Amino acid sequence: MSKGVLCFASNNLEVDYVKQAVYFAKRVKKHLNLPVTLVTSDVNYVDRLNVRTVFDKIISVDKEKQNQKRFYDGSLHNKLLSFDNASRINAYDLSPYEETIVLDIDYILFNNVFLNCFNQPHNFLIYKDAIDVCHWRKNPEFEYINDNGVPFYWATCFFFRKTNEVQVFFNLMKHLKENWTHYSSVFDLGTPTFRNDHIFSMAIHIMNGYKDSNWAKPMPGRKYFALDRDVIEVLDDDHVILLVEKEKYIGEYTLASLKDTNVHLMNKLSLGGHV
Amino acid sequence: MKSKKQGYLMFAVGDTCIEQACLCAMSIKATQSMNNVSIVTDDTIPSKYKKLFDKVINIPWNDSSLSSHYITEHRWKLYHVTPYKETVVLDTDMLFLTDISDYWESLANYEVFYSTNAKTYRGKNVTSDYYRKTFVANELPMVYCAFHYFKKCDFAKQFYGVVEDITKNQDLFYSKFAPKLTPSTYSMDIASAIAIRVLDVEDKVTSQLSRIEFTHMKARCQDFVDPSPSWQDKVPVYLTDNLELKIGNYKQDTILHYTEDSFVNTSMVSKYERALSL
Repeated sequence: MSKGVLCFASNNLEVDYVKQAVYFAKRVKKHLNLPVTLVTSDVNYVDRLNVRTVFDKIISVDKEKQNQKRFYDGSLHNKLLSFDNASRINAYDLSPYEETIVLDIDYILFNNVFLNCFNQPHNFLIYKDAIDVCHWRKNPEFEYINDNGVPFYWATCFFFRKTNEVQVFFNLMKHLKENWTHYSSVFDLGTPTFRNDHIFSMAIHIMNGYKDSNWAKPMPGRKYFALDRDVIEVLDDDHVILLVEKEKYIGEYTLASLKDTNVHLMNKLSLGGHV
Repeated sequence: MKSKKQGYLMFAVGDTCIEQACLCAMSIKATQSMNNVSIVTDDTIPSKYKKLFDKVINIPWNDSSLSSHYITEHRWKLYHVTPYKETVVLDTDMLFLTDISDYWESLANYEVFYSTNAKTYRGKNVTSDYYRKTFVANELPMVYCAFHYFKKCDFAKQFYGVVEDITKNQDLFYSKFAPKLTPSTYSMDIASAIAIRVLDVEDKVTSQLSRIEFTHMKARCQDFVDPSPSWQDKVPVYLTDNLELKIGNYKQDTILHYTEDSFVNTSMVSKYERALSL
């Protein structure tokens, strides 16, 4: 069966996602030795950078209607910027591979643990639990999609095989997206803003029969993450050093370091300075 | 009449409890393959619901000098009046949603059994000790009387004899076994826990590994970050005509201990009545 990694990158005014995707693809090659397909609405920019050879395939998609969100760069600085995230639910149709790992381009690889996806029997893997590199932060929004809602799953990192059942799951997400206003109300999101983590969480809950169950199995290894309130100080081949926000001291930070450990670095503005 | 082997038994005082008991009995009849149910009460059961019950039993030994307004003080008597050889005692504010008749096979391994496993409506184990401070402070076994079992036998008779003693000498037993955060009112949960401690039979009457469990809807058990005094303020309830219940976006199964009187409404009762052609 063909194997590969699928990633998504469409630029906004301030974040060069395509450049970050190039960095991401090089790390995939180094640690997983898998082909990477890029889904982007900025093919012309890819050509301008002359980086087509980094990718196995480049799939051009139309620019989606963009959401807006506040991008932090440390705990004091933030900007309201657009982001394009709607293609993720089309990963099943877009992927040229029979077995696909889908990763956010800010998921920085330091090891090959994800190769274990291909040596296990389950057809859909995704993280539900994750570890914040900041020990004091409480993140209830990463436990449930809201205070009375369904479990939160991380759409930043998942694996699927092309099977009928997995196709049903992705078709279900298309249905949820087409009727997003309705379902965001049914699931009591409190906002009509579309978010991949939420639509994946809702669809998994439905696949579970509206119960606490395990249709989706966990990705191998553990997911570590740093919020955009944290700043990347050093990012090299085998480790990352972060400035992690302090409790009760806004604008002050504590050093934290991870070595040979995959990590989701959400501060895209900071990441842009290291790739 | 020859006594039936197994059955559910409820104790009810007052109109609200009677309404809840009738709804619970309807849910048992609608969902359970083993659906014998009786009630202990001095109140009147509405005529259309009488056929739900094998027996309507008056509260025995109703000594007014002894009893207070705390109705739970009568519950030790259930052992002596049950019409069944094996009995599951239920709180009235319970709703049976899917067939749990296979629980009886597990329960048959015990002479007395108390559930210690409660779930949230999201299917997670209840971990909050918000309502159980007395248990924690006094290291009492975390038993729930809302669903407990006994069979007619010498051990169960001895056990409920101790519960009777505790009920009649509440202050003495509370001072000895629950001196910290002592509740001001009688609690059958605490009386049962003390009886278990007195007889040193926790391993005999409970099991952490048991699959016998129910959904406990007290608001502070639900792991809400921003809890409300009433869980119904946090999540909506949907009951289909097929008697499938959703709380929020969670389909419910086994047994729901809804805990709030306002949960019961005429629409819900009508759906059960229609399902049973009452």
